[in-house]
Amino acid sequence: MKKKLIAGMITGVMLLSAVGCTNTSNTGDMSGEADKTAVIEKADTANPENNSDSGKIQIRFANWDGGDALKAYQEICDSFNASQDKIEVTILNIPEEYSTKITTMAAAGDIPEFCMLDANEILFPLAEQGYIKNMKELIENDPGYDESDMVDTLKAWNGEDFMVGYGAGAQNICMFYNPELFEKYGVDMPPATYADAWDWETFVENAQKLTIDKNGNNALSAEFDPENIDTYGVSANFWWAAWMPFVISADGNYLTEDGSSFGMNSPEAVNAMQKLSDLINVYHVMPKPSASESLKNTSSALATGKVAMVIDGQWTNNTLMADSLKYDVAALPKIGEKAATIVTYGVLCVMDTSKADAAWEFFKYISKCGAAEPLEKSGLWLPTTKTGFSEDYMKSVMTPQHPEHYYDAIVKPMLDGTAQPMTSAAVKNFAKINDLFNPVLDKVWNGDSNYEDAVNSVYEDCNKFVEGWNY
Amino acid sequence: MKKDRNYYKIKKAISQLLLYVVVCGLATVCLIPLYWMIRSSFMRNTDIYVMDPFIVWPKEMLWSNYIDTVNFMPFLKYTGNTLIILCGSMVGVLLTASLAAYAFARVSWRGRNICFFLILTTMMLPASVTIVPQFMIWKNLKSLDTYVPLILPAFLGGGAFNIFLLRQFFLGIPKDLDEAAYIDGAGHVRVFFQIILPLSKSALIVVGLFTFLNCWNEFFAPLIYLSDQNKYTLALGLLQFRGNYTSKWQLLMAASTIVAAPCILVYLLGQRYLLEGISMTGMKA
Amino acid sequence: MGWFFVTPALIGFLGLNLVPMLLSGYYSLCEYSVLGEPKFIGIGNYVQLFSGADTTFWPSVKATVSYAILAVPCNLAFAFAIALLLNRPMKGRALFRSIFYLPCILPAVASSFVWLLLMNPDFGLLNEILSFCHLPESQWLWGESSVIPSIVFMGIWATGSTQVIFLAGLQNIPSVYYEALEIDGGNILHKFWYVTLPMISSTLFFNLVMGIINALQVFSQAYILTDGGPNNASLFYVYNLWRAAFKYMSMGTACAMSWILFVVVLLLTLFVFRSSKRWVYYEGEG
Repeated sequence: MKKKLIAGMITGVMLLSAVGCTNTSNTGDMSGEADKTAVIEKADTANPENNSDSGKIQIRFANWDGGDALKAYQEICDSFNASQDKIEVTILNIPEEYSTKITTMAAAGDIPEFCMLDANEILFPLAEQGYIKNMKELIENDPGYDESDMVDTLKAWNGEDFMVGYGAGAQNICMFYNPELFEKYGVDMPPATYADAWDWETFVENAQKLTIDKNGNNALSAEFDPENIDTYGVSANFWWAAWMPFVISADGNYLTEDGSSFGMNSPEAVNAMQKLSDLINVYHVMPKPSASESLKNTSSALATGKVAMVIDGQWTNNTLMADSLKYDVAALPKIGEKAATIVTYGVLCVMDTSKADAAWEFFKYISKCGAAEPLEKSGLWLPTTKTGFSEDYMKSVMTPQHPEHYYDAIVKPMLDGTAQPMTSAAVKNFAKINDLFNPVLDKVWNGDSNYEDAVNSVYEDCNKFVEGWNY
Repeated sequence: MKKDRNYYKIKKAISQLLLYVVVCGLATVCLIPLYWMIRSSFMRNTDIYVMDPFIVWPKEMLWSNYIDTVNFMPFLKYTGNTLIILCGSMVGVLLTASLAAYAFARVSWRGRNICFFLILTTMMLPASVTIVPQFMIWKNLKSLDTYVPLILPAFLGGGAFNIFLLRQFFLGIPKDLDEAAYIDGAGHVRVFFQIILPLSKSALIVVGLFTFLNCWNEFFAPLIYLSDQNKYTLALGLLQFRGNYTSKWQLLMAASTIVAAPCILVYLLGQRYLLEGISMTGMKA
Repeated sequence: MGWFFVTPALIGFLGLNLVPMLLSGYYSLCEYSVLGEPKFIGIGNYVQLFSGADTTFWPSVKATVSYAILAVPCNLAFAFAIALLLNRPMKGRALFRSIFYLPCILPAVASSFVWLLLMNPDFGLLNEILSFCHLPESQWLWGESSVIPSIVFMGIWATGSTQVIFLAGLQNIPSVYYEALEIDGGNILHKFWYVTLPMISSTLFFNLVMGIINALQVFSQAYILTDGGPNNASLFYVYNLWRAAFKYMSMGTACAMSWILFVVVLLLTLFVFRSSKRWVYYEGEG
């Protein structure tokens, strides 16, 4: 027992000394060492074991993806490590509480050298505190790198001169549909290209034809019973990326054009958002959107034959293709003159550490055309380079499982200006503003309020956090 | 008199029947998630959503889901890692939490109540605000990416919850037993090991069970302190089935089934000891 | 001698918890983004929270308090009732005990997914049952007024741990007490009132304190299922605090929120401890 006590005491002393260390280092930091790079350098020297015995520069690639994407990352890292003998990349996979772990590591001066970051979470706070290298400078300092192959909508900026990172795993929002239901009820198939996109009236009318109640009446019929709907015309999970295409198509945007104030109460945005709400509450062609963003699975409803059209992200192709379902993809309908969709992506960032050069080398490798080919073949990801979006390359990755109009409805809009930049990366302070704005939308989708009243009730609060566009 | 006995018999039978109906009804609800998890693990992803989900059993059992799952996740390695943390924690919690609980329940000393309350306060601040400084402590101890931050705390009190729980049970043990021991000249250490611990088997098994399940399902601390995928635990591996954009629910469900199976087994086995331990204390008291 | 027994726990407290707790108290008086350096600003964070300048603070208090008021008694009553049922002699009792514990064993991702499907207002089984019984359907997790009761309803099925603690307490009651009462002609109610309740009071007390501490820190349902919606109705306090800390990077605000919570939980716990002298009976004490 006494031995135990002594052992305990020793541990205790160790711990207390450790606490002392934390304290002194903390007060040290507090005493005005505001220069972030100094802190980071200090952290790097504190971790000499990072440069391993093999003499290679060790870097970590932090990401949150699981499943097939994680497997693909592993393959990319393996082939990169085999391709040269100076740098060794290991994967730091953080499948949950991503920003908690990255923030904690950053606070402890141990940020991973290469990170995938979410624009809706810690990307911009990290950028503003100087943790991220300016990719624009990295590009300029590397004459061998061909910038012209980069796609503009996939560049994330924090102000005009600071490129914080570049997209990986590009996605856009599109329409999935079940051709059997269209045939059954004699409705024209939706057009695949955005140039021919349905206007809103056509879309609503067709959706009504496809919404069938338990007695077999469609939503246009006088006997239609909205309380007992069997098949819905449309389904969508209305998180921001799903409604932004319609706002942009109606000529509105998240902020006013000069970026000085919140834009979602403009007549254009009100028009678009009210039209979306009407799908649910006036025309009864759409079920209420899911309560949660974390379970984006509306698209699977397509498989049940209970929904004719689904508005969702292109990644859904992966699930639908794996089960060899009969479905196709089409352009989103338009509200104003031009139809639009929106791009989403994870942002690859080279972090500001002493090993930034090695991380940059890895960035070039992972972002080049064809690096993530298995994920493109399985319909999970879109490419991220101009070469990647070319017809030739896409032909090489498209499989018989891909839906017939994949190229027209999903790939083409990425380059012809139809796909708009990701709002969460374009708007400063987006996370904060949207968490204030989003809750009132629940009232709108639920039919408890019209959109204009709802947006005006939070307009002032949202406006307080508006700081303009990121570029 | 005869009529009376019949009346009691019938009454007893009816109440027994009612008991069964109520218990079975409630148990069905508890079984739904399990049933649903197993059923979904044999289906195609899109079939999971076909409505009337609770009546349908897959027409075609897709065992391939399990093969895919096992191919994706190194179950054996993750199980081994989890077991290391589990065994360490179990020993630590049972030993140090019961020691502390004994001091709070059975020994009178100055500062006892304040000390007890201080330990309780560790449950009252959300982890979000203490995790960063705690991470720094472990970093200074050079024990990041090891199992030390996951096991050592178990040896340092084993958590306020366990201390509190054991204290409550120790308080319920009649005092005459240890007083008799003191008269025989026993000290606190002997009373603790020879009287209190044997009498608290049921409580210790409860604490052990909770520790087991906690270690098995806990993902937050391993997520924060581990970086090398070769050191990951089962709970972390489970999360790796969820991608940012898409979830293969059928694989996730197959993995969940595999991960939950040992837990269910342990509980079924532990259940017996739970009963046994309790009946023994009942006899002695 | 007491100090000897608590040494490990005390080292744990001093080494691992005390400094982080005190630091969070200091940060609550700072403007602190975790990524940068803390800047002392006095009680600014607290003023901002209480004045409502941070518009999510009071809604999150409301959501959490209404959850706690509903969940604490519901969970306790349900777990106690189940424990009483499963303490009666019956065939297959061990099996039933395991079944009631199942929802606690299953991984949270699996069980939350099944609840989402069950509660779906359009296709879910629960609404099918309601409409079959000609009862009004509910929006469940999707409705502003029904989301908290729905989460509580889900929660009572996961009270396995509480049930086990109650069961262990019940089993510790020596059967001689019941027998004595039987000889005196006591019926089932007498047994419950004069033996079960006093003998279980220390377990009840434990479960009550833990119930309060846990209910006020409810987090995962908002994190996994609702994202705080609809319309902030389930924006639980600790979820809101987590968002402040790791989504908006205002750790200072998050620390201030935690210390407000800390004081509230501490006072409530002290109150229950004080009151326990009147209603908790320890055999070891008397």
